Amino acid sequence: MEYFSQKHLFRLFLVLVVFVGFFLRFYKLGLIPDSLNWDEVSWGYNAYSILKTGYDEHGNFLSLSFKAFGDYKQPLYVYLTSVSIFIFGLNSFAVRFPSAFFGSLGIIAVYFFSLEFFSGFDRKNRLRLSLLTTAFYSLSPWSVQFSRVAYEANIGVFLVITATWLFLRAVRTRNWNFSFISIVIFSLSGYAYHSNKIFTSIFVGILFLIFSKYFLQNKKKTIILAVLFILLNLPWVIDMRTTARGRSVTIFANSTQILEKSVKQLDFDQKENNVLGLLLHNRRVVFFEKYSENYLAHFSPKFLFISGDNNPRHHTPEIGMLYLFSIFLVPLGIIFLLKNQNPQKSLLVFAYLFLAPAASALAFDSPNASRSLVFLPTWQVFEASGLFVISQIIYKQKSILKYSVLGLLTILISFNVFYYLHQYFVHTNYETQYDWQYGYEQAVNFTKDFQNQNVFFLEDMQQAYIFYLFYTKYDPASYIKSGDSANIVKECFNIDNYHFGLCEDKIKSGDMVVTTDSKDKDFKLLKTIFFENQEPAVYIYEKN
Amino acid sequence: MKKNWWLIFIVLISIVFRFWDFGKVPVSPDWDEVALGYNAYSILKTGKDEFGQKFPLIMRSFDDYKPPLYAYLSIPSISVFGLNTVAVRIPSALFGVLTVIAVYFLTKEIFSLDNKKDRSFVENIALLTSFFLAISPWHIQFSRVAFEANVSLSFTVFGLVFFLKAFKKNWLFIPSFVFFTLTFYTYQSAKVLTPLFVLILIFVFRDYLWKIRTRFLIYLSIFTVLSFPFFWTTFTTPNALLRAKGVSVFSDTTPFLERSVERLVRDKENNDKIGFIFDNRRLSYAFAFFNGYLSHFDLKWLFLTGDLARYQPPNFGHLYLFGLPFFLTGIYALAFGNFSKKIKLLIFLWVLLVPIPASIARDVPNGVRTLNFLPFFQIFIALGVISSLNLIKSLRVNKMIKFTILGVYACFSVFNFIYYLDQYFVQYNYFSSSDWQYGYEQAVSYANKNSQNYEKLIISNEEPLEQSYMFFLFFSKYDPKTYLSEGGTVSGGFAEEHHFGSYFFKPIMKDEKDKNTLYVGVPGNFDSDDFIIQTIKSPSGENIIKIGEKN
Repeated sequence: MEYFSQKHLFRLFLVLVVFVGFFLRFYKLGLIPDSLNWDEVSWGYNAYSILKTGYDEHGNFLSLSFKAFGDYKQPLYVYLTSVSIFIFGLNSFAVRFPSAFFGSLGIIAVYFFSLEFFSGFDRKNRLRLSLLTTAFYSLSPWSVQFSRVAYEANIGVFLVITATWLFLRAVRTRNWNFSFISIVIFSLSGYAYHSNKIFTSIFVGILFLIFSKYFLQNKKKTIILAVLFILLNLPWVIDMRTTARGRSVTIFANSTQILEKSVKQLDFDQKENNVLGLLLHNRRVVFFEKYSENYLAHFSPKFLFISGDNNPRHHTPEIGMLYLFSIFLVPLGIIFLLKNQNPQKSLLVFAYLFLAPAASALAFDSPNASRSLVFLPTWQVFEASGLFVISQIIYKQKSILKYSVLGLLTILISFNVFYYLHQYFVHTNYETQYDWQYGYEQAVNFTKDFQNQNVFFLEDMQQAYIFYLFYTKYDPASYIKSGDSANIVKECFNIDNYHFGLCEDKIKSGDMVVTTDSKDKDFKLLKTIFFENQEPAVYIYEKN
Repeated sequence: MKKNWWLIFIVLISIVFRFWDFGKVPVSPDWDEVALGYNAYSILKTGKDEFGQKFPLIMRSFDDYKPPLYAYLSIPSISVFGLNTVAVRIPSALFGVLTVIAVYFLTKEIFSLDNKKDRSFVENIALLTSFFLAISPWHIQFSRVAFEANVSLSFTVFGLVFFLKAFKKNWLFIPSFVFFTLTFYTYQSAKVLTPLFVLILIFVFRDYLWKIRTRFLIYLSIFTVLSFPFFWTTFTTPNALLRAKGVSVFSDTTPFLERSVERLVRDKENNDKIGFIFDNRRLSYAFAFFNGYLSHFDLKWLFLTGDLARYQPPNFGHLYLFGLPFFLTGIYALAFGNFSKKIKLLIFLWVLLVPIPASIARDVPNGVRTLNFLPFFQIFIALGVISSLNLIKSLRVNKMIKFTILGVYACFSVFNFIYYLDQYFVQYNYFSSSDWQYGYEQAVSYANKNSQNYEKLIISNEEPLEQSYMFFLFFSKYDPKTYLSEGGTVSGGFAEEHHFGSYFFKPIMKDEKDKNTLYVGVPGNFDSDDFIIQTIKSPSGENIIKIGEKN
């Protein structure tokens, strides 16, 4: 470890780590994954529309909540994307750029965060631990996965890390300016992503409690801070639309399935006149059970280390959210922190860790890597601490043992890292094209040359209209003016000669039909778009 | 003396939870239980199992080649109470109670390894551990049914107690190794686990054992000699390892390797040399094993959902949810607390080894193959309770606050406990009767009463009535001597047809309409114009078995 003491070598490592992180996030950006899914396209077109007209696709002026498909997306990502579309034009690179950019900046933020977080250690160890944390973040499969696609959650993570760093810095240097900036950024993160609203409101409260000594010193400023935080968060609290999406995915909104069993049990209790049972099979008990189940699911080793969540867009094939070898590092790291970190900061990192899935567990499909993305960088802190412990043990050994263990460890870790990179850069496109809605772009591009023909995107091509708008770069001004956006709730609607939804009864001879199902003899096949694995993705027919 | 009253109290609790409604919850014996029961009955009456094998060391049964000890153990209770569910389950329940007692001594021995520990702490943790075992859903579950795993757990605990006691009196290594050997004759997974356990013990206590090495080697050879007949029969009986192969990840490779093969093909097309290394078959196996292993440390499985319906009541895990914070603090306290290295090594290594045999199998996580987690998880929880109480005591806050915290948590725990009791004793039979293959008892009694009116009886052996012949043998207490003279069982596979007396066990064909024949089958076996004589309903009211004539 004596190398690290040399300043320039340390800097070299740091630059290398940051560079590798940028590279992993920007290399072939927009090509892997090789197609945009509907959410990404929707971000893109709304940003484009804002850029050109100031209105979103539904004609709302500079909105704080984007209706999109009725899921009311938080606004920050749209505005960021409009900047990158201004620079790069309307394409997949531009749509994903903000995520990649802030994901990469996140590496630097993590470095500063860990410098603050490990500030209690002596200089050498503080730098080592920070460098390790940064390296783990830079190579994190979880962060890379979400940084290469347009996920607003990723912006939220960057903001939370930055705000936490500033908060710690404010406490250490007793500089109140930092705490004001920190509170602003914390509030901003709620405008980046829905889950962050729950996370930050509780997390900031806990931070106030943990560092109450610091805040009690200046009660006036503390009150101003608190008021500022509440004011900045008020808009989304009041605006019911922004919580609509949150509520629609929760276990409470999808209660039929969940309560089914309890209803059966209640029936049985009623039949048996079992008063105790009626009390025990209460709805609240069931929700509590389901919530704890979802919550614990986010800590399941399978989710973290083996295979990730159930959504192929959220992880690399056969790779968990963290590296497999981290299963050894994480417990060691936790032990190390509990023993050596000062209690306030230990509390901070565990509050961070245990709050991260709090919002995600409310949703019915748990575990969910996207809604719990705010877990980053806690796991990386543990991983780094774990590796730090191991390296300290190794460096105390005799030289033969030292180098052989070191060699073995390096081989193991690099094998795992390269396995991940192989899975991501070689297999992702091939295995997840279906999930990334490959074929929509090609279908739009194929049909847009036939301007005199009616084109029908059947119902199985979900939200195809937004792909049409995006890939034809449909002029937002004329789209808003036409008033077509009001129609998209209808079962069948059209934009010029393009028809979307349940329109099968309107198809006439000579019309083009785009679908994922193969059709019978009434239709002539014009083109089949294939996935890379030779399975058909989309068919384009002409009605006879 | 005062504390011993506590132990008696705990034993009483354990007896109540293990014998309350005994034989009625779970509602009926499953196929393994009846197979153990009938084979025991057969050995009692004739000295031979259903295949005519004299005093078997391995029972072929349903071609899963069961270790036989449980069947032998149930012979006394069957000879007293006759062949019925209660009699078959009694050994397991008795051993369950004995385990609760043994765990008290085990915990005491473990924590006395550190002679600095004060007596009252050792006494407290021993009492708490055996108390948590006495009310443990996991242990109650398997103590109330004839599952070999539970008896195997008892032998392991006994073996461990004697092993630790043997440091003072060396001859106690003999009972210790006898008990370890007995696990081989009791449960499949022990083949893998017990040797590993013994290795851990040797490793942890190597200093002392080295001192008495010659004597210890003699004791160890007893272990080898005693287990020799078992391993000899295992390896010389053709197909005896079939079961182990059948459930392992390596057996059903086609769907499992499909993806890796697909990737390899692509790598070949792209001439991707690195890909050959990464998309290797061995790597896939390693991952599957690792995945299985880790799944046993999934807190959701342990505390909330559990696995197969036969392994826990609906909506419940293997441990109480209120134990979760204690579980975590207990692990922390053991890892960092002032305990000797031996204690830490012994407990943690033991816990880490337990999931190994279960991880090789396909259906993971699995509550029965990892039953040996007990009583160590209870030790964690007990330690967690003690250290949490100490923590709260040391907090410098108002007494009222302390009492409120304790009171609220106690309420939650009691609620959790009552919830379990309700789920198990009230709800379980209603919701999981089909998993316990309910319905045979009534079907057999009806069929027996009316069998003389028919030339033959045809009983379906298709899902969910697989292995129906064994249920009929069991519930009708068919005389083993007659059964064996008619040929006994020929083969135990699932698709196998059987017959004895006028009973025939085979799939019921759609157009089959034999005259003078009573059919027993699932509702789907009968048409609307068939004459249904009796329908057997599950406790929740579904039709499960129909008995009738076909026209």
